[in-house]
Formats: sequence, structure tokens, C-alpha cells
Amino acid sequence: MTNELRVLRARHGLSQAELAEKLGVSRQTINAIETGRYDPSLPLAFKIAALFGHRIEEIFSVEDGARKLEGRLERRAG
Amino acid sequence: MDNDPSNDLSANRNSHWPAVWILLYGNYGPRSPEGRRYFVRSNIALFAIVVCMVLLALLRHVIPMSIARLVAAITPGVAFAYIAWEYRRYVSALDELARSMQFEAVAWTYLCALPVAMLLGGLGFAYHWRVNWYWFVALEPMRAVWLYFVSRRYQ
Repeated sequence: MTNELRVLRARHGLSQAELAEKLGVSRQTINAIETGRYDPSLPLAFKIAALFGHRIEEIFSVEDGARKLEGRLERRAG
Repeated sequence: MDNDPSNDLSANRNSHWPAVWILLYGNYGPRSPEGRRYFVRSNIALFAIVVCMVLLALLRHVIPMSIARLVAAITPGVAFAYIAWEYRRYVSALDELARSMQFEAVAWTYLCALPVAMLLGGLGFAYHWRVNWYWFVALEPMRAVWLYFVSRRYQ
């Protein structure tokens, strides 16, 4: 499973520790999710999606189709 | 450092699991409140076993042997039951990655212990060996080693 967590975190100017604190998890969990070594639980995925104002499928995907999010974000920014 | 996002964007940043604590105690150390509570309470339980055994040795001529035997027999079990209860509370309070790592370490330890127990039981049955069941205590260091290896996956 791939995810756009690192991109979203960077766009919001958050460190791993700050994001972890907002989500109530450890920084290691954020790091493991970003590196694709750990797939978050559904409640955590919902929390992440709510925090960044996206749908879960816009952040997490089973294939590299998550690149769509970058395009959508760029369109919003542009 | 952690407050600066630019320092924190590397996907390969080390996770900094406390390896020494993991190997020595099978947990993530007393940095968190739940970690501190588990560390303090489990050590109190272990200390209680030592105190109880010392008292039994000192008072062996004062208290009846039947009572001394009973206390010596149940004290470790009661203490470790309390430690297990505190461990359950500790694991419940962890975040989901740390908790899943603990569960995986426990699962691997169980899977290793099962054939060892069956082998010892079989040897004891076949050759009338007296198996010392205190080998069970070695499961804790084994769990710590498994936790260490699991934590390496998320470095």
C-alpha cells in the first residue's frame, strides 16, 4: 500500500513528531507509515484523512494511483 | 530538531527504538507514563518475590513448614500474574504500531515455546526426566529478543 502522508505533512509544515502528537500516536508510527513499512488501522487512517481534509482513498491506495492526489493538490494550489 | 519539518522529511529517518531497553526488559522504556507505571509496578512485584523468599529463609524456624512451603509455592505465581496484568494494561496504552510489535513478539515467543515444551514433555515422559519448569522464565528474554528483531523492521 502506498500513501501520500509525507507529501501532505510537508505541505502542512508539520514534523513527524508534531503530526504524531496531533494523531495521538508515536513518531515511529508516522515514520513507519510514511516509509510504507506499516499500514495504519482504519481508525488511524480516518483520523489522518480528517486532519488533512481528504478522503482516505486520496491518501492511501493499493497502487501508485495515489499520484492523482498530487495533481489535485497542484490544481488547487494553481 | 523535531519541530523543523525540513529536518524531518526523510523517508528513511531512523525510528530510534530504545534497543537496550527492548533487549533488557522487553518494552520501550519508562519515557512514557504507561512505560513508567509498568516499569515501577513490575519491579515492585519482582522485589516482592525476593523479599518474600528472604523473609521465609529468615523465619524458617518461626513459622510452620507447611505455611512456608505454601507461601513459597504461590508467591512467584501471584507476582507474575500481577506483572502479566500490568503488561496487559501497558500494551493497551501503547499506540498501534508499538502494540502490534508487542503482540508479534509474544506470538513468536509462543510459537517457539510450544515445540520446546512439547519436546521437554516428551523427553520427560520417555526417559523419566525431571523437567525443571523454571525454564519458562527464559521466555521473557526470548520475547525481548523477538521484540528487538521486530523493531529492527521499523528502523
